[in-house]
Amino acid sequence: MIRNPYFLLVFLCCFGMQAQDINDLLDKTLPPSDSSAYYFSEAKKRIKTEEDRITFLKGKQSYFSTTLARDSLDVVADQLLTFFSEANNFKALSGQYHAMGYYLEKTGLYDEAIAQYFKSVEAAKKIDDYVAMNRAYRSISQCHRLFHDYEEAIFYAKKTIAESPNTYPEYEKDMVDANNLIGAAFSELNKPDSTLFYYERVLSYVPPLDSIDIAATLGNMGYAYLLAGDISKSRQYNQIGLDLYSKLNNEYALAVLYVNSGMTENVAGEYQRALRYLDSGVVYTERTNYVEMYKWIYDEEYKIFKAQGNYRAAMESLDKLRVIKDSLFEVERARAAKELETQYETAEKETQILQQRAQLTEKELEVRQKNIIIFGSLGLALLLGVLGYLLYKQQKLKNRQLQKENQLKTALAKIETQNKLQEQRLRISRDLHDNIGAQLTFIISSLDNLKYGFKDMSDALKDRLVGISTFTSATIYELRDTIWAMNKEEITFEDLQARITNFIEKARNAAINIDFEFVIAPTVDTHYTFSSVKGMNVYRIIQEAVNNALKYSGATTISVRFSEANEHLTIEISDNGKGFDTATVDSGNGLLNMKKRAREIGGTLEIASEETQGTTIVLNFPKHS
Amino acid sequence: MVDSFRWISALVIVILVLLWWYFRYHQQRNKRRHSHQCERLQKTLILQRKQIAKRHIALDRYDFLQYNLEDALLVQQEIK
Repeated sequence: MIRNPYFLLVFLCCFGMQAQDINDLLDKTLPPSDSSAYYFSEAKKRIKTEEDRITFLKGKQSYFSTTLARDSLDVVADQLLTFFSEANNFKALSGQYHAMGYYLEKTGLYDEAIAQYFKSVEAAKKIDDYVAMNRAYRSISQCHRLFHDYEEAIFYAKKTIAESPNTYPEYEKDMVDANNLIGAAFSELNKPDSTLFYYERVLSYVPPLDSIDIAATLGNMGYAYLLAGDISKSRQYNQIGLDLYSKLNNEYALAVLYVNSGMTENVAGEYQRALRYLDSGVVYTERTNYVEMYKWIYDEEYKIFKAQGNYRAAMESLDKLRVIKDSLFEVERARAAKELETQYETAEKETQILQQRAQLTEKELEVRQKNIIIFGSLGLALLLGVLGYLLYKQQKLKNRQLQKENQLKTALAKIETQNKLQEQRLRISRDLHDNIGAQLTFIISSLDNLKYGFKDMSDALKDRLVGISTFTSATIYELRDTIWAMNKEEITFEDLQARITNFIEKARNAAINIDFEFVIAPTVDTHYTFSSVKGMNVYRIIQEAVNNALKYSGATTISVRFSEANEHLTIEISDNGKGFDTATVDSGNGLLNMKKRAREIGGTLEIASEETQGTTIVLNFPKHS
Repeated sequence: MVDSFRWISALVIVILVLLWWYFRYHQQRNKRRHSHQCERLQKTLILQRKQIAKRHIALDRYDFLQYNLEDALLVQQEIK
């Protein structure tokens, strides 16, 4: 896809420069200076990948480790540990723990350092990284040695040897380092045999002349053989050490080895040679400015001069030794003061770290409290919302139920009142009928008794009594009709029709020679409902008219017709009887009653009759009045 | 933080469940009460209607020719 390979080359170069830039910039941050912050900020700008970020953090870690900025170092170290843990990169994790341990060891916090080294061991064990594991064990051993706890130092160094299989490439190097540590610890315990045993094991892994890696071991072996009393071997290893360190140009080691050689020659009785070695030792000691070495040199010179009987020179050496001891004492005192100062600063920094941690914890607590308040508020809002909704729903249901109950109660109250009123009216009616009816019946009975009690009663009086009796009977019937109408309230058209039909049927049975017709025109609304008074009056008018026709007309046909027009009902009762002259014939009680009833219902009653032409009675009344 | 959130969530859920249960219980109780009340009212209403109907049936027995008012005026002693 890339047409021109030069573009690819340029791209790779740029990418390489980018990575190189970060490393270069980070390299420039050390040693710490005013420009370090600038280089860090520039390096930070160039972070592109996760790897760049780790490189950057490692650079910061080195910087803070150098400046002994423990709090900042802890922050960076934590970030790196998080990175490595999340990536399950146990090799890097082990290395990170080891780096922290080294920093703590350097600042004299051996306990904390050992704890970090153990974490390093744990991480390394997960991936069987014996190099990292042994490195951590050796560091633990070293810390114990610095504590002067040589037994523990030997124990952890031996652990390296015991737990490492000889299958990985760095095995021999690790064995060399472990045996060196054990040998050094035994040397501190003043056990030359054990010291030499482990140093010899070092040599079994690496031939003495083949490597400069074991120069220190060879130097130490010379001293160990001196302690063991083997002068020739002591000379041999001292010389090997001198040759190696001369090649390496390690002036400190050369100073130590020249002094060791001086000691060996002194024990061997070669005083001149011993003094020459000691003079060389003085030269390299001056170059390294390692004051403590003078103590060994002057002490050895004092012993040599004393053995030679050169007491003046011996005294001079003794004086130098005393001066150097005083000076060393001052140096030691200064060093102790420095150590105390360092410890104080460390303690102070630890206090600061603790304070910062406390502040951080407080801030975390505040944030947590705020979050709890937010979550709590949200939860409370949700609860209140739900509670409001439930209350609203419950209230709505209650309202609906109450509405329905109220409707039922209203309907019930209405019908109950109606029922009670009707019942009360009915009872009063019944009492009225029973009392007045009984009284009227008593009057009729009394009139009858009177009529039969007086045999010689005149006809006029007798007729008068009969009239009163008839009137009273009519009053009873009127009373019954009125009471009924008062209670019944209304009567349907169909009911009235049925009652009229029944009446005409009975009339037909009574007068079999007469044809009866009862016709209802299709225009009549049969669903109409009369008031009971109106219905009763209509019935009584028809009854009276038909009865009159039956009694007086001699008709062969009697018809009753219902019709409706303009919201008015018309009832026509006609016969084909002999008729009468309405001008000459007086209206009897019957006709007067009919007219009175017609007026009561807001209607009119017309009587049309001529002699031999029959009679027609027309009742017309409004449906709604 | 996560623990607090869990605790608050759990508390809210428990309260929600309790609220739901409480309102459901009250709702059902109200429904039962309403149902009984409606049933009682309906029965009374039906009884009243029956009494009115009975009165009118009796009144319908009144014959215009026989004037049998005693048969038509039926007193219902149970109505006070």
